[in-house]
Amino acid sequence: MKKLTAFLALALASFALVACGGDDDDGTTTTGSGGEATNGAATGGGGGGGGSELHIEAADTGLAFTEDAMTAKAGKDVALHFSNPQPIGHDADIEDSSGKVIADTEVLTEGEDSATIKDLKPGKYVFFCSVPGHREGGMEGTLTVE
Amino acid sequence: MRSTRLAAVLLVSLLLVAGGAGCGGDEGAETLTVNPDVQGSPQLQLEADPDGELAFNAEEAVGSAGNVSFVLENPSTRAHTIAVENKRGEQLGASRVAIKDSEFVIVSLEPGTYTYYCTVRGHREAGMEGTLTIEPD
Repeated sequence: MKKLTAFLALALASFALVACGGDDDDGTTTTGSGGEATNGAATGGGGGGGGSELHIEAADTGLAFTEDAMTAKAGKDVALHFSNPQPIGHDADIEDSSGKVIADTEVLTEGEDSATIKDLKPGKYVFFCSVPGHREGGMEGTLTVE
Repeated sequence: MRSTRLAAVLLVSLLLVAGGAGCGGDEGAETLTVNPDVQGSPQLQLEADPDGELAFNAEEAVGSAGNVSFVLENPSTRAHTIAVENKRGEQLGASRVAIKDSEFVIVSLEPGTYTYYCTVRGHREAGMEGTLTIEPD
């Protein structure tokens, strides 16, 4: 009986400590977020000839992607991978210089979706979130295809 | 004898649980910084409580003069807005209502102190407000 009580007390105490640690994490992550979202060139892998990849990620919070300028290599069947860590719905669309949408992922929360760009030609493109108001709020960036 | 020890053990575990719960109180003390590393205007990235409590994630914020985009991320199903007023109590701008969505309002700010708040009736009074300090260059 004594042992059981001591065990229960320990279990409760460790639960309290774990809960505490979780709160601390929340406290520190909310401030920084966009810090890494500088103009770094996120390149599509493009290694083994054809079938290159493009990764677009929503920032941890706010109306922003982690990058606002990216480069990629031209190619056929380029895979666009979009991930969104937020509980708010976002997607990633890409339009060419004439405004025609060439890639479109699903609007989702805390998840990932992919799309295929059949023929990604060299040029200037814009990637953006198509949820009303989000592009205007800052969710867009440039994609340069070489 | 046995019951005394039992009581002591229970008391200690209760105190530990209470201490753990107290940690959550630190959240309000956080100071948010306007994030300049985004496309368009620098963003003050505010979050409403995901469970619908009437609170933002920060009651204090700092930033630089110029256009500031107040972005409110509201993961809850309770309607909120984000609005800004100056020291004289004049509203400089307000976002649209966000429900499970993000909304924003862009205002031009000079050095000084400003208050951001939710315009939904009763929410500001219940605690949905904070102070943004724009520092001199």
